[in-house]
Amino acid sequence: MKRFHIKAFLGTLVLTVLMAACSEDILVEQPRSIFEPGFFKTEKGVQGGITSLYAHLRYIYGQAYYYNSTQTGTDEATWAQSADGNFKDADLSGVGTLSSTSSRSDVLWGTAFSNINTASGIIENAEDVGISAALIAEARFFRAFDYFLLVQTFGGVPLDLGSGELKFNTSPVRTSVRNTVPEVYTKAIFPDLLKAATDLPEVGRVTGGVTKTLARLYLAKAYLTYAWWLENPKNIPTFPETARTDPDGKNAQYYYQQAYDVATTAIENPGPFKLQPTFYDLNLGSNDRNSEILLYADHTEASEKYNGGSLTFGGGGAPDNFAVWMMTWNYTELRSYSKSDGTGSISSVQREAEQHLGRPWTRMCPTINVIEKTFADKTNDSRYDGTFTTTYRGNWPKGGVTNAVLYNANNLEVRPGDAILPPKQLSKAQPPKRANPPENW
Amino acid sequence: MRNNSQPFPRPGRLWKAAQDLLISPSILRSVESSRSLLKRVALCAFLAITGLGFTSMAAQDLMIKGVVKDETGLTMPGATVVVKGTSTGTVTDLNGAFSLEAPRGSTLVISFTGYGSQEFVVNDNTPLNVTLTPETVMLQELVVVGYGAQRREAVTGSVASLGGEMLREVPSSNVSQALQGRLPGVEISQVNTKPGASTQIRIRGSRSLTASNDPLIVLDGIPFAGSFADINPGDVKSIDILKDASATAIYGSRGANGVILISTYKGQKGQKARVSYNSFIGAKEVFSKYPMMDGPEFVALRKAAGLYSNGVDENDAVNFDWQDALYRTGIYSNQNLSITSGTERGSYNFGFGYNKEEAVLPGQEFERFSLNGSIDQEVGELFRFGINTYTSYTRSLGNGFDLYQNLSTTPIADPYNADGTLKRTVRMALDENWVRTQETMDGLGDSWIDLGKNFGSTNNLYGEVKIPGIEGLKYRLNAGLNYRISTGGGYTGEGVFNTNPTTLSSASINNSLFTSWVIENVLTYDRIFAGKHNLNLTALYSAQEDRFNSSSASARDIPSDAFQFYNLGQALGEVTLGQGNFNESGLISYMGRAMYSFNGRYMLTATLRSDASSRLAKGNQWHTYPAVSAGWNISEEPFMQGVKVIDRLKLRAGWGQTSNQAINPYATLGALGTRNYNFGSAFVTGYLVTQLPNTNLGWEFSNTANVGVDFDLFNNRLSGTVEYYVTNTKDILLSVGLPSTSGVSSYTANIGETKNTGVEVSLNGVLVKSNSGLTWEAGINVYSNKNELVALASGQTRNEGNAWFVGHPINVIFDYEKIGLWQDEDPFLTVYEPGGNVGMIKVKYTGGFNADGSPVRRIGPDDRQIIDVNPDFQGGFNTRLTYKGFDLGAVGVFQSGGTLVSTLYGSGGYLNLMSGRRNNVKVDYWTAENPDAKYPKPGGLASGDNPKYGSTLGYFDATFLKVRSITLGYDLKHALLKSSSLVNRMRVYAVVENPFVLFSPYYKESKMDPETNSYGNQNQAVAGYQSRILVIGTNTPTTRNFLIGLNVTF
Repeated sequence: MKRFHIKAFLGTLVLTVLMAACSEDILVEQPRSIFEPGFFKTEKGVQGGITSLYAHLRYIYGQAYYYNSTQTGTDEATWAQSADGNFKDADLSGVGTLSSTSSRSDVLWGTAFSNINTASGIIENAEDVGISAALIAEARFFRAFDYFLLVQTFGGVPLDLGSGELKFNTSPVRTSVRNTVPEVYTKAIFPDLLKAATDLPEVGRVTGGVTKTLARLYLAKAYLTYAWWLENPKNIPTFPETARTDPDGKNAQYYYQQAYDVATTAIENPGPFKLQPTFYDLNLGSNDRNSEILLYADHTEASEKYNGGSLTFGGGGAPDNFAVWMMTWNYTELRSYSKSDGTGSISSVQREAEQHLGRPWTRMCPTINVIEKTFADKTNDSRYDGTFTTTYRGNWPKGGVTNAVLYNANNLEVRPGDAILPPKQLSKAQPPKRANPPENW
Repeated sequence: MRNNSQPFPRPGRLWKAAQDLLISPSILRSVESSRSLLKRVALCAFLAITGLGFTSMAAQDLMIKGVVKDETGLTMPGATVVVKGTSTGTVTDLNGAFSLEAPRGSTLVISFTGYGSQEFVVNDNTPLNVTLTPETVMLQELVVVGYGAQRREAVTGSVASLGGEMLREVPSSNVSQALQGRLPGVEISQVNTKPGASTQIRIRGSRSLTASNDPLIVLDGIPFAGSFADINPGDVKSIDILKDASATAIYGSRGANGVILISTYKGQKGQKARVSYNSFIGAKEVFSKYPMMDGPEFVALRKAAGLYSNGVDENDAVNFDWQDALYRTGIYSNQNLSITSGTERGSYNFGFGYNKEEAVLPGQEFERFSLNGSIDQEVGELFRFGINTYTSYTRSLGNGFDLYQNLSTTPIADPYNADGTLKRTVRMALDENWVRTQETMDGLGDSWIDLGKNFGSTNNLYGEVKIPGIEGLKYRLNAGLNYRISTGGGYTGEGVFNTNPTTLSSASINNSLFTSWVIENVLTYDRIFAGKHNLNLTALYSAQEDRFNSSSASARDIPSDAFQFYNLGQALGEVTLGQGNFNESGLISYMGRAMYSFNGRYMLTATLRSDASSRLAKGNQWHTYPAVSAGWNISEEPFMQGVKVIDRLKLRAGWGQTSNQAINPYATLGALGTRNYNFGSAFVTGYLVTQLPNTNLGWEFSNTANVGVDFDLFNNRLSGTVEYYVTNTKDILLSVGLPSTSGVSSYTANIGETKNTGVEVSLNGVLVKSNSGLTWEAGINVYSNKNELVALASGQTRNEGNAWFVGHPINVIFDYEKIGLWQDEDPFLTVYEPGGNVGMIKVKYTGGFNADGSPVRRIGPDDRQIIDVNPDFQGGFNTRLTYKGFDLGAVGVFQSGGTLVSTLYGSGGYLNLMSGRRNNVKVDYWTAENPDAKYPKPGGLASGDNPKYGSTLGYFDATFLKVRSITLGYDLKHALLKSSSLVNRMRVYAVVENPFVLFSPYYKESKMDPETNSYGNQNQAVAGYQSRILVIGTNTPTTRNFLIGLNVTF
């Protein structure tokens, strides 16, 4: 009897354990800390998608290597003393070699397509979840915006990311086929921008939100660029190879006219936008998000998390805003002297987080022509002062140097706040200046 | 009752060994390897626990008493006495005595594993004096094979074993460090030199690309969830590593990368109480400083480069060694205490360990408290219950120490103010560095902490019952419960380590909790038929679930240093919650295994296992795979009996399939990434698709074939194993990077194939064994693994982004190949290298040439080469000399060939900029007067901040031989304490670890340890490689350790 009980007990135990563990429930997955792509089909998902379209601007604007890829080697900028290969290669002056692995156009290439895909996803899913036409228009704007950057940089690019032309890609395809330049303009950029210009609001939905005026600006630019491509006055090759004909049978002149019309409309109906009182105000740090800027990659000093990058150091990668320092030269090399006999060398302009100083990355610098020729009238044209730092002033107390007085060349006494490097005094003998600088600056 | 002779070794010898251990281990140690000793102890324990625990059954016949002795006259506890043809029986007690009732005329069978059994007909109750003699003279070992143990002779799969004593010949905080070079086919690479750090273990190479290549660790029968750092090497009784599919098949998908079975010490039934105390303490010194330039060398470099002038705090006359000012002597100590005892029906063991290891970097240390225990108890005739528990608490400090700043500070930067105090920062040409010396680090007090704590508990509860009525059938339930909690916190005070003295303080905390349960239902049937057909059947059903979740938070501007990270709520600045993380995964398995052996000559093992994993897509969750292996003990054949030279000769062959599901949970589902943003002052979060779903994701599986031969020759003086294997891995789980044009970063797919083939040889010999007591033993293992990527996705042959190339090993570097420096007389410099200069690095050009000998194009990305990093062969050796209580041993590791990546010399480290901006590794560079130098002209053509092709400067021949430890010990029991009955053993010893390195080109140039110390994306200024390419970076320097220790048993 005893044995029987043991058996019964054992049998029950075994069964219990088997039953407990046998359930295939443990093979079911329910993520609780990550989003599945299905989230993209909810209203919150779509709205978050639109936010990420804005956030992607930080991966292009403020990213110094993208800035470098568009500036270095043009008549505006060249490589500077601490330039590394990224900058020398882009300079095209023989100091480096631009190759498929050293070109920094990868910044755009690596950023734009995922954004295009997100935009397509929003456009596809939006109606099902009841998103307004104005919101969808934001996605259309950004899709066109990225295609426009791509087509200008690389020529024809794929419209089919894997699930069909301008469709949200859900299939992992590892190859792609480039469309031609006219296809990218006429199938993607123009229709999206036209619809965006119709559906977008006059005043942005959010601070820095896209507007009708912005869509018109980009539409005008796109028409201009496309018209120029059709015309191709300098006989530049295009990729992939295609005839310079418009699928809609229009000519370059037609698109120039379109550009003019759209731009005129925008200028006549600027919405909340207007010019700043002075050129200086446009780029003044404390005057961020002003009425003259139609689109910007926003940042904040109030939150490291939402700023996306450290508030205390620059890591040198997106989404940090570090492009601005590329042209900052190493002003900390300026020396004054603690003794009037010219000994006791001290850095009198020390590194400071301030708009006209900042981090001396010293990778790029303006070409000499920019400095000499851009502003013919350096005395009266206030835009010259609004563009260049011309005076470096002593700030040594910030670096812990306690001297009240330092000495410059010729025993000139300087105090904190005094000019250590003053602008060169312009010679009175110079010829009279042009009253108006070039229109296109 | 059954005869146990088949699956277990001969216990006579074994029991004697166990007794020797209790009484006079030194004698035994001098004769036999400690490894086999341990095996025997293990066996004893096993025997005592399994199968033999019977009390006499009720009977009404004669009461028979007797004593069982071995051939030397020593009594044999644990011998089995059975009434033939019945289940009536008993085992002998501690004195070898037994008594049982048996019917008149019945036959008693007295047996002990490995000994010839004897039979006596019961006629009267005269006390029996039984002497058992060994069946053979073979050395026998017990091998843990998962869900059981086997005699080494019976093993048909590929299993490598190492005893705990052998393991501890290299004193270490981490078991995996001590394992390096000890077993063939087990490649242990250093990936971190911080105290207590674990290593990377690859058993027979890498198979998978994205999924894990880490082996499964099983601690006392239960899959171990913690880190190797949690395990106290002092508790380890033996380590058995399952290498081929036939051996790992029983662990199914979890065992695809090999299985490491760790057994801790257990008590033995009937054993006297025994207390062991083991301890060592010593000092750690830097093996070699990083090879940075001194003042005059740096001044010359800066001048030669001509790019930078001295900064405010720099002066050519200064020559300050920043490393000397930083490193300290680390104290290293380890204490273990254990108590083991047995009762008539059970046994227990408890042990406590404490380990503290300080790094040479101030503030960096590792501490571990460990507690292990086991209880085994028989209840009645049928039941047996037990608990194994292993708990540890570890604490590491200062792991975030950033050595780069110290190394890159120029030697001409003067850290002292005029009054002799240390400056806060030094300003150099372009950079400003916080002054990081031992003094400044020590002076931080509360203003810096970097603390990590882990508490882990692994528990196995089991119950076993013999199924009445069916002889040999047992049911066992294992319930494994794992719990591991990690918490960490960091705090950096205002301005600490920062150039700006008012940079806000910051603090962070993180917590994670891992729990897992596993239930195993095991039915075993073990029986011998007709005296020679030995059958062992195992059936298993198991289910396992792992759960992990973590959270973190950080804050800025903590008002008081004293708060550190303990109260983020008081932060004046932003408090940020980190991303939470939650993972849950399940595994359900059915397994059956049959082991059959005929007469100890022919062995066959067949395994079939079915696994289902939650990590894979619905419809593909189940996979079933077979494994089969066979063995032939040639030496057991009658025709071999006359061959005196061969004591044992066994051929083994096996084939099997294993599978891998070691991808992250939810990989089949796809994922959204997040991007935070602000619309003015409104904070928002955006989503984008980063990973696509794959509803077809299934198992990755490997087919492995293994053949081996094991032999013992010359009266067991030389033993060894030779093995050859081929592993083909298919449907590799791969996170496939998609081209940018797809708009999505990646998806996980079953793509590609890899192949590993290899040869492993291990030899152990007793080279000298003289009558005077001198013994010299030596062992060596050599292995070579050839790894090849056979196929990638859809016919693709190269994936440059991930550095995967079909026809090459998985681990390669894709880079230019340096062939020298450009010299004055070399033509076409500016055609090859526009903007280039004489003295710059010259790399291999693979393009065509024009008629005039000029190249058709400049050097560019097409010239990059695929560089293999894998060694041709590698291995380890150990040797041991014993004489009259003295022992002298050495353990070493070596490898030949392969490419060593040193990011100090390459471009990622930013320590070989050759520009004079920051301090530079000491190199022989090109000047007009020194054109034959290895390194380029300072200040020449740059790519980024480094010399163009600077990464090529970091590649070295990886050959080296390193003596890891030399130990000299003496057992006081041998002389001073000979007469003491209290102390069984008292050995004192001294060890020097990492005494020297030979044959290493890298060591020759840098005087550094030629072993890697980081993953490819760590400890560099700019991460330059795939994480899987191991490199030397600016991790904590390798140390040379001087230790003294004590082993006492009483």
